[in-house]
Amino acid sequence: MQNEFQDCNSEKWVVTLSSSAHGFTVEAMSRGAENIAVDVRAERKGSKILLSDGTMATLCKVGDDWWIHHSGRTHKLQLIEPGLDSSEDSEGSLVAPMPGTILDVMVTRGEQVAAGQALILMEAMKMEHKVVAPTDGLIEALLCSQGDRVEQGAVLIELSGKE
Amino acid sequence: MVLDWMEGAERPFSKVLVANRGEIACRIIRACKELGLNSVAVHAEDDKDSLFVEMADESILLEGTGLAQTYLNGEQIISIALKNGVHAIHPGFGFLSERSDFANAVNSAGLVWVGPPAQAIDSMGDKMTARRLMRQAGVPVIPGEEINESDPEKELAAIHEASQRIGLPLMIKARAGGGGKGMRMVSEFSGVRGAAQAARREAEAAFGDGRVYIEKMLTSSRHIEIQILADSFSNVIHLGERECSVQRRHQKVLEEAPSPVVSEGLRAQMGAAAVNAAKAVFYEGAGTVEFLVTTHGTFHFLEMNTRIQVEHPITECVTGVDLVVEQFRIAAGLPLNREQTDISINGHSIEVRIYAESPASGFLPATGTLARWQAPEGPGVRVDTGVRQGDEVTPSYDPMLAKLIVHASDRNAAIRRMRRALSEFVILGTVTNVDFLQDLIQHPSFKAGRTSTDFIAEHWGNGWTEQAPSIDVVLAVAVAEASGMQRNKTVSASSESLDPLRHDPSNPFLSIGKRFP
Repeated sequence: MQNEFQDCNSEKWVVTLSSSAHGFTVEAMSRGAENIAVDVRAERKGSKILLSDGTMATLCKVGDDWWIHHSGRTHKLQLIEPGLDSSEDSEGSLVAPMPGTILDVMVTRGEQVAAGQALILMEAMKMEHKVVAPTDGLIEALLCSQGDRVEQGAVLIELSGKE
Repeated sequence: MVLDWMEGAERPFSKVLVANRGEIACRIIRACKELGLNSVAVHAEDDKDSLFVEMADESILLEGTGLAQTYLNGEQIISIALKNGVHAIHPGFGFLSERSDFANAVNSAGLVWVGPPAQAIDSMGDKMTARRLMRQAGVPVIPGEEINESDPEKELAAIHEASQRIGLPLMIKARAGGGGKGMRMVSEFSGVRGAAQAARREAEAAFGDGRVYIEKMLTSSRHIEIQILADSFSNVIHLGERECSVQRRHQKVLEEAPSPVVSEGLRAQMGAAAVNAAKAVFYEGAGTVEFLVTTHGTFHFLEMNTRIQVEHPITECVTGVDLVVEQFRIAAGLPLNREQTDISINGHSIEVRIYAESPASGFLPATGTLARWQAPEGPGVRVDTGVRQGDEVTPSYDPMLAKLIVHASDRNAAIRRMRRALSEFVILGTVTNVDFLQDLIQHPSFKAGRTSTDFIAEHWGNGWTEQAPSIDVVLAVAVAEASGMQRNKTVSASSESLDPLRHDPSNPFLSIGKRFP
């Protein structure tokens, strides 16, 4: 079976495993365009994964995200469902960097904005944050208004960028 | 029936309302349990399943939404106390803890206030009055001047003149200040006027009082504070210092006791100054006097926090004194049961604050489900928290999830113990600063004890980057996915699936020892 994951640096990992009586064997593994030779093995031990170097990983899946604690560090890897390219659908969408309340919408639909221009002011946990335009562009859609409570990752604005 | 430890107390009580939430509410409730006091939690609707509500002997819902109608609603809290046979109110920190009008209202209602007298809160809350009182008491203050001009133009002129005497860089601060509001740094004389006007505007808007004063800016200084305890009989002792220099956004991230730069001589001097500061305002209870210590080792009064501090556990570790228990003893009117000579510093303690935040994106607050929560254990490790596995982290409240405290024989051993404890801390489902803290405590400058308030900005000026996953990590995830592990361990966005009993009204365990209005 083959699965694709995306890490914190938006790097894509593809892992192909075959199952046997003793667990799983790595058939192939790649990071971006690079093929990786794998000499570690891993097997499931209850709710943990035991690696052949003797270390254990604690894992948990929330939505499409695998959260993993290993060697004292925590990582999040997003499972990419086959046929979905997550980098495509986020093009031009500006999302809330944190959950919170929209304090001010500083632009209107159809407005031409410049890179670096502040578009939205939001607040959470006593902290203010400005959402700025990453590129020059046109405000295609405004998906929030003043006073709205938004979740982290909620799309706030659709911006048509430069080609 | 009076509890044995309260024998002879002037203001005995046996039932305490905790006017706070989260971690500090749990800390206070634990002290209540140890002292045989009944505890009452008050909580907003969205906190009904929180740990502190579960821990308290009784829990009562605060009507309304938002902080102003709930945790900041002193009137409602006092009325709940009176209706439920409560004798004393502990405010914790934040919320109502430094509101003198609330302290007065609690006393007027015939309840015991577990905190300092209202007049001491007021004296220290007005930063200019505090400065003047401290100078009179012989406590060194930061070089600066108070401005006493009511006419705005004359005030600006006076500020300008004073700035020439004080020198650059300097800070213009609001008299009613706090939380970094109404504060401006000035590095050129031409900027004095604009900065003074901006500070005044901001202070006027935030506190309804635009008056300002100016102080020399002490760069690369350390933030070191002294814990004091004062009883109702004018006995005041200090419990040594806490070094709180490592900060981000003017919020403390790591604290340690003792400070790596405070000698026994300096501790005695700063301790005596803190005791004088407390005596000058007729302080009672636990309090903290904050100082800035320059690279030359001179110290200057910054402000006094008239409440229990977030970082109080490190003092408890190195002195063996339970500060919350002492707060209750003092509030009951008992004299201190220790003298200054009974206090000694044993070993070294470090606290880190675990926040739900993303250090890789400028420490922005994060939310999510605490799908997995395994706190570290073992020798010398203490975890003070208000959450447990399955809880939601919402944007409604402070993003601090826990305080991880270690105690060991010396500083190096404490750093090693903190490193071990941090590596054991498993928090999955919400981004936290745990990995950043690992890098912080292993930084050579931190290990060498070279910390200042600029520490994080200096060493992670361009931000912090999280470690990319290793091949092992990706493989472990791939095997977990392939073996269908998520089918057993998937946590839905809602915490309810984790513990259905918690929400089942017919669950008999819910009503044990609790009263629901």
